[in-house]
Amino acid sequence: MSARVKFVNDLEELKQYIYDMSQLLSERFDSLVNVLENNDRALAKELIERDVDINELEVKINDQSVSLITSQSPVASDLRLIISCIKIAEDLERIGDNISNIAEVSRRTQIMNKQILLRLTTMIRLAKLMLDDAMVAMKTEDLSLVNEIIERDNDIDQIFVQVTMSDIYEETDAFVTGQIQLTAKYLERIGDHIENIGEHIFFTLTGKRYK
Amino acid sequence: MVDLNIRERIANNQRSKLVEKTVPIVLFSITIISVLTTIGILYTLIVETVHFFGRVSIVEFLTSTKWNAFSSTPSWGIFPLILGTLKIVVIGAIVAVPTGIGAAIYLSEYASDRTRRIIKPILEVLAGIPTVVYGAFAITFVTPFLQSFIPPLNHFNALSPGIVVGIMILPMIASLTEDALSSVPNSMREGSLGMGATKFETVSKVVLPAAISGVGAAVVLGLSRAIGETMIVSIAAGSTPNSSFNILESLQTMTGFIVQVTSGDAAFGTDVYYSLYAVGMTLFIFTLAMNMISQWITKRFREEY
Amino acid sequence: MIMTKEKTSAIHIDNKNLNHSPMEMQNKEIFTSKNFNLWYGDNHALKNINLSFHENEISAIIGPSGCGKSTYIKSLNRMVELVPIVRTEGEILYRDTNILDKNMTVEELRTKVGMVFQKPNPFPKSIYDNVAYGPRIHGIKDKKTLDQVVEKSLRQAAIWDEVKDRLNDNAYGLSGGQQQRICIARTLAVEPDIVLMDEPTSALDPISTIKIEDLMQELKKEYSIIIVTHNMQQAARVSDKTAFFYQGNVIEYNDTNIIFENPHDKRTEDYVTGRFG
Repeated sequence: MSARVKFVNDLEELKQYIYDMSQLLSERFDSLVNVLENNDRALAKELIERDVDINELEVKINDQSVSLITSQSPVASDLRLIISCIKIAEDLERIGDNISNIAEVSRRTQIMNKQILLRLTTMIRLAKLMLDDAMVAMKTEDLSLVNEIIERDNDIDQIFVQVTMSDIYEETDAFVTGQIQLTAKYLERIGDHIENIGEHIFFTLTGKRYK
Repeated sequence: MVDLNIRERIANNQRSKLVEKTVPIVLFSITIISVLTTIGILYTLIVETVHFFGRVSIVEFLTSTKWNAFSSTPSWGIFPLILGTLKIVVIGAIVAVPTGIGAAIYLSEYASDRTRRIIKPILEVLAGIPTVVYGAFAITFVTPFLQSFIPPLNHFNALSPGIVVGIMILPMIASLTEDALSSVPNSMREGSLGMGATKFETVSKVVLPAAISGVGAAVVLGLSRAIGETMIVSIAAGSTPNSSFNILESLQTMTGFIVQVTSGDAAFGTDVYYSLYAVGMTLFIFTLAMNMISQWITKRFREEY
Repeated sequence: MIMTKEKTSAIHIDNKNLNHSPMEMQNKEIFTSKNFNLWYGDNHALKNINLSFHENEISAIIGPSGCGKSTYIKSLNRMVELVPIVRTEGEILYRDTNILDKNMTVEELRTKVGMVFQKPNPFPKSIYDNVAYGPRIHGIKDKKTLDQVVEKSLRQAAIWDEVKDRLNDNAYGLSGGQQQRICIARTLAVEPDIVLMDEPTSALDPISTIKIEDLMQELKKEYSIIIVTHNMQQAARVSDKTAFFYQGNVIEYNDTNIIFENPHDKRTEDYVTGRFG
């Protein structure tokens, strides 16, 4: 079965862009933990500036997808893959934006409360694991892993609730409180986007909506 | 992989330009020879015919109903000879055209492969029989056979050679018609059958009309041969030109007359000698006219594809 | 509790899945094959075909060369019998009557089940005579009726305006796409129930192809159409249901959007994505 060699290679290339984009984000999660724990403002600035790299990849993925649709008339699983890549790229780009937003926060203030800091960095680590596993699931087409990943967003949501409903009262500075809530919100959003990515992968593999 | 060097070898190949230049000239010359020959024959015919009409009134030729070339007071009305030819041709047509076309339709549209493979060669054999044999067959078998139930039938008559001429041209008409029918594309039959037409409707309303020019050509070719048929009529029709429409009595065709003259002693320069050319010319005009009529007919009904 | 979930919508598949809907929602069956088998001599070309086509639908049959799709469609109007070494077993029901029975003559069947062929095959007659051929052989002789039938059929075939001033011209003077539409008009003139189309646009240019595809959508309102095509995009564009044939078997038969968005059988998936065939 060696038909449509060019097309098959182009599809692989498209997937590779997604993996690359995720890889970049995965590394940024690590940097983000650093920024929050050590209030490394230089690193924060770098994170913000380098967001363009993420955006460029999203553009590439969109262009490649449109080109494949035009030239190859994809159907069935090929079509689902291409459409999902467009959507996943969008979610990844939003994750990138949210990371930048959090970096902005740390340029405005430093979160001193150890408890809250721990919660927030845990959320980041969970997100990173979720994203890395999502890419593994996509590569290996592991449906059960996808299902599991989608559920993990609940974990992030739980921490979000904790931070914003109880831990927040530990903080006395009103401004910092606001920034903490923002940061938690951004992280909760990141979780949602990764959950979405999971659902797109689910659609690619099964052709159905995740219920 | 041996280096084939094709590109280089092609570039170096010197093809003979001489051949390309000389072939059209050679072919043209050959064609010219055929044309010149035709012109030559026509010219001779015309000149000698004109000569004839210098001695014999053309009015008599065209209007008189008596042809008596060998008497001391000859009559030169062409009508009896034309009539003689026509009697043979019409009878032959009645025999050959329906049968030939019918056989062709059967072979092309209805017969199985096996049947076709048996019958076609037999028809071809019929086409290969020499006309002199047909003539002998006519006078020794057909005429006595017909006489057994048509008592007034003369020993020389129009009916017997007419029928045999029909038999002779039948394979030609059948074969050419079958070719014409076979060359109608199958997609046409499928289109008709696909709409719920019966096989017969398809054959009669689609295939036959589509092949009509081929069928017309076949019939004309057959009739032209009948007009020019010489051997059978010489043997079985007789040499008494007459103007009656009775097919049971002896007659003479144009071709029969020509044979009679040329196998006798027609001295060069006599009226009889020149009458040969006049009759030949008439024969030629007939076949020419036949061709033109058939072309006109098929043009009118032609369904081109 | 403030829980905002930002959900981007996944691709919505509109599963007009008639297989799961109650019987009243399905159109009536018009052609059903039951364990239909066909042999060309020793070659078992169609194997146990069980397939149902419904009214006012366009059903496409796709598959690689030699899979039996043309053979099958020609069985539906018994044109396949023109090949002498054909042998069949099983039933094909046209509206509850077995077409292989002796009760229905093959001419009756073919009047109700029209066919359009791959290569346009108009008769070498005038456009008028081409379209009037069918009605004429079925006994309609008066000119007024014929005029009306010819106009109606040419309109239905979306070619009336192009030929109304030259009905007496020979059909061979038309372009390929126009000739094919004349053939469609000719088929419609006898007012069949179903129109079978055996790769009707594969010999035509893209614009004629599109015109005929649009035509099919219009015809669907009055007729049922079964089309064999090796052009998958065409099947995806025009048909409601698609059957995938492979090596004489029906591998999958379902709504077209399922076949092309999320087929159930891997062989179907491989075929529509061009991984083989």
